[in-house]
Amino acid sequence: MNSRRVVVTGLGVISALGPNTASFWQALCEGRSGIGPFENIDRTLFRFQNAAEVHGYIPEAHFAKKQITRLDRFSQLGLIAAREAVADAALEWTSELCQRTAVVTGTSTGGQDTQEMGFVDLYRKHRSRVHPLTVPRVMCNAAACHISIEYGISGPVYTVSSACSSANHAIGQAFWMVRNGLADAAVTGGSEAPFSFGNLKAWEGLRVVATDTCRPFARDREGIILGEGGAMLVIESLEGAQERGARIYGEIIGFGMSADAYHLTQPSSDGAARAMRAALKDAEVDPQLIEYINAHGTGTQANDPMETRAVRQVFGEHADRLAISSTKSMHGHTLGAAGALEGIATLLALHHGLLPPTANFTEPDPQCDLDVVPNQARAAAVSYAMSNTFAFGGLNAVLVFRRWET
Amino acid sequence: MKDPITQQVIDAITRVAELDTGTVSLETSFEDLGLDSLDALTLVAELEDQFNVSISDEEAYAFTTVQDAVESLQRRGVGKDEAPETTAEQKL
Repeated sequence: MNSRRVVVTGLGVISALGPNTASFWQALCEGRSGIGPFENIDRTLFRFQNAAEVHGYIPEAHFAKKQITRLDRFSQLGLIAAREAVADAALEWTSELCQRTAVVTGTSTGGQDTQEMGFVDLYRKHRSRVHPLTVPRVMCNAAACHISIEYGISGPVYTVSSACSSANHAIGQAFWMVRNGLADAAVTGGSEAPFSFGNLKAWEGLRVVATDTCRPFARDREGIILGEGGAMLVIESLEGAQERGARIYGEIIGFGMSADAYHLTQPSSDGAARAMRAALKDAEVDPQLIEYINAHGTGTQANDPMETRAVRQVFGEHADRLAISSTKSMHGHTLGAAGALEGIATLLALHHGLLPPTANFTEPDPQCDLDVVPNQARAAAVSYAMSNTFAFGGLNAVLVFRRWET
Repeated sequence: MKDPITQQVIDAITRVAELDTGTVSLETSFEDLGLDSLDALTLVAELEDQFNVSISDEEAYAFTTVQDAVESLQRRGVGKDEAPETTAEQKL
């Protein structure tokens, strides 16, 4: 099989940390959290009041009104991130490239907002109909389709939905397609817009949302903070990128997946460890080479000790020499987009030689006894890094990146 | 002077297609206005709400001009009594 090197040449992020990749990275460098009281839903009706929302977002600043009627918020965030990534990559869309490019996106709940507006119309307002475009707005593949239509990308286009691993599963599929010659380039990542009343109530029911903030790996951590956002990468074959003189952020070298086959919400370190090992094997790198891990690091009681155990299972003594941080402490848990935001954080850490911290850190937990880069970013010239995502249902997806050396 | 029903249909199309006032006439086709099938669905739903009628799938898909929409409404008896006022919100 034709196996090629795959590089990242474009990045786009819209998140609680700002409207673009530059603001995202700036906040990560400063250890600054975008978490605060959620603004558009009555907070008094919830046990938790904080979230990582995209602040000051105005759809009309990005889309014509007619287009907005077709775009659920999750698609808007995905399309905005894709526009930034595509512009950043400076791709020239020839008809051949359009046909040889893929779009693979991830989302957990898709057009939840639109779905709920329809329910309000039917069950609360007792109207006889919902918005006529409810179906194409709600569908999980909507963001991928809008990206495809906007640029005329006509290669493989699809969406992966595997809860909090959606984006890593998506990026991994796109990576493998480009590596194996099924596509020459891909726009890939994820987007999520979870802030609808019913969805927040559903999360409240699970009792995993922190009442104040997200403190991964800290002894007094309370749980996740939900986040919204979109993050997309443009990836392409090294050969293609070099041919057109593209700027290269880094290289994707491995992808691994596993399932716990154990429990719907309780994670298993064995499953997580198997996904990390699979990614390392796919990357053909020795575990000792990994110097930084962007953790799944949700800040729940269950995840963080489990992830610590899994890292120790995979890396043995080397676990005490590597750094691991959870940027969810700043951009929140963006669910189906998480792997995309965190993959970009990992690539930029390699690119800039700076490891983003685990923000909001208070005191260590003996069960999470790794170097979690507490509160302050750390300069470190790292060559190999890993990004973990572990979803409800026990679905694990892990990516391995390498610094680009010019 | 257009009759109130025609004017309200034209207003609805102008809103859905984001057009300047005065660019739509009775004879204008949806295609000329750049309306695709999804715009047409949105328009039909707006007309159903505004005139409190139910338009069948078959008829909705057959709309190609402003005239088709107006005639469909007239067949349902819309306009025999006082036509509803266009609200400020609908004009946005």
